[in-house]
Amino acid sequence: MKIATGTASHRSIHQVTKNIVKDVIGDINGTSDFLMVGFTPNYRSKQAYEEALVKLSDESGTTNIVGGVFPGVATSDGYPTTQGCSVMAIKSDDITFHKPYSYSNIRTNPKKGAKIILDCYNKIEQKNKMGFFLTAGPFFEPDAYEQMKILDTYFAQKFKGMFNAIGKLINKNMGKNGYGTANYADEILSILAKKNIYNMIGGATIDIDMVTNFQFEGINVLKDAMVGTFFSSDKLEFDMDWTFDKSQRSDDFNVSDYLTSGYVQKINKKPARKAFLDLIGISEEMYNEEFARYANASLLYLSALSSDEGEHVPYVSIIQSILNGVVTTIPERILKKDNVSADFFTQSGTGIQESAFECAIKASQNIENPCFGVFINCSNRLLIAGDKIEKETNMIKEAIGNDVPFITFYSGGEFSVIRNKPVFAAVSLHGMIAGENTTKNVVF
Amino acid sequence: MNYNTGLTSELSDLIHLDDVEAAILFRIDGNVIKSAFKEEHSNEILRTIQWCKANVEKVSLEMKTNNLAKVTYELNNFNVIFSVVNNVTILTTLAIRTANMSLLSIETKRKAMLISASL
Repeated sequence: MKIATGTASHRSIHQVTKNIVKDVIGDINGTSDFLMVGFTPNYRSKQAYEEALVKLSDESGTTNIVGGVFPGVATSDGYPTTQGCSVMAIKSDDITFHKPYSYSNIRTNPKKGAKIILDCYNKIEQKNKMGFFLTAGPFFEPDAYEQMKILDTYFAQKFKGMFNAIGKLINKNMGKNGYGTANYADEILSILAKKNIYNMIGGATIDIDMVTNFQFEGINVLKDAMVGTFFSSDKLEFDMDWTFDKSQRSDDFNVSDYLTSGYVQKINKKPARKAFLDLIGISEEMYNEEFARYANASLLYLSALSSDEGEHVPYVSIIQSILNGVVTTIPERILKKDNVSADFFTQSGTGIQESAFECAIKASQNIENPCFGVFINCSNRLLIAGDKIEKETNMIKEAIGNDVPFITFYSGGEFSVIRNKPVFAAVSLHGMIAGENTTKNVVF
Repeated sequence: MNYNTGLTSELSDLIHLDDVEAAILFRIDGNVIKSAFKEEHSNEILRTIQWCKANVEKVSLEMKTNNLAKVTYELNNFNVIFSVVNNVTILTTLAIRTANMSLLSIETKRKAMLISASL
């Protein structure tokens, strides 16, 4: 098996592609079986990305390419970049890389997307399987939240049943127009888990400036699409896990009143926006100054729902001055109880590094000899870590081994099926490891 | 790649980022080794660069004394980032006030590392 990874950085996409061809494709020395590709959004034009993919495909000899655009990309052997490209190229007789699939309408028809994934999965005969898929992520206009104002009205509080339905419609409409990923990604995950898909790692493409948002399948550059593939093997095994920074837990609070559209009207029985700001202890002016650039999402103050299994499911809260409530990325599937209890976890640079180590350790604990890894990391974690981000890469190396190649995409939503359970989380890290288990099969 | 082309290319990469207006490689005595600017620049940028030139010696002494790798100033509607390249060279990046400083800090660090390797 030959695996090559590399990250290149340059203002010109042609130069970046040239460097990747030299350092990564060249390192494989022959035809690659699969390329995983992440470009940063600064090159903007669809044609530029198409030309880059054609070049990568021509030079590697494969059209088995899956990838997308992310604000940051990294590999095990280089400093992360926000102006360049990361690629992992694999050639292996031990793994089958299945033909990539794509579906261009994922925001409006997630059920069809799930069906395409299942069709691909059902054709695989080898015993060990791992899915990898990317969807379009958040991509909306600054005034997208205006539509939610209706959920603050007297009637919305009074006639909850009716306004739940209205809220759902608004949310769906915003989803179609590029707001968030919670609803469609979570719906796909639920279907896949119900149909017994065991492990599948996924994430959403994103440009923090909301200008460029592309997904790659073969040499095709798509928008608002889902792309993915499966790896399968009889010899190698795959495992995965996820985590987030749980090191600094603060107040418990009660999401006492909410609409099923992911719009929280009240926290601790008070109007949610004011209660949220009181809980995190900063003024609205300061909040706007700090987070306006990030779609008003509270990056440092992460809310997490307490699940029945005693775990936490983190979600992002978004405070908009025009709304009295709080917009959240909680999938509708989770909001079924009357009172939902939640906690705050303040995110920190050190906590993020430690959680990267934890994720990599958990993902690799059942694999004796890791061969390669794929990590979907949150772009919010990239923003929190800033120029210390390479420390996270170092922590992953420490956990899985210095010589194990891996690629990291900093995404706009991380979602996986992990051991048959759907996990839609925010500000989190999901990781998968492929490798061999040699001692397990010994019979005494 | 020759030395000058390499430095110019690294600084040009920085000014291609939407938020960056100028990137200047200073010797710690205030002399400019290499610089790159967006094509259109205002008097305000020039004033800020003048301030950088006048203060780089003081700033680098402070950074050296306290073992600081990076210092950021908010000045004249710009963020000014000083990043240590080596003992005698400082990379100065001028970005707009609303720049995404987290993402920018990743690229300035990368460039400081690359320039350091090429000097």
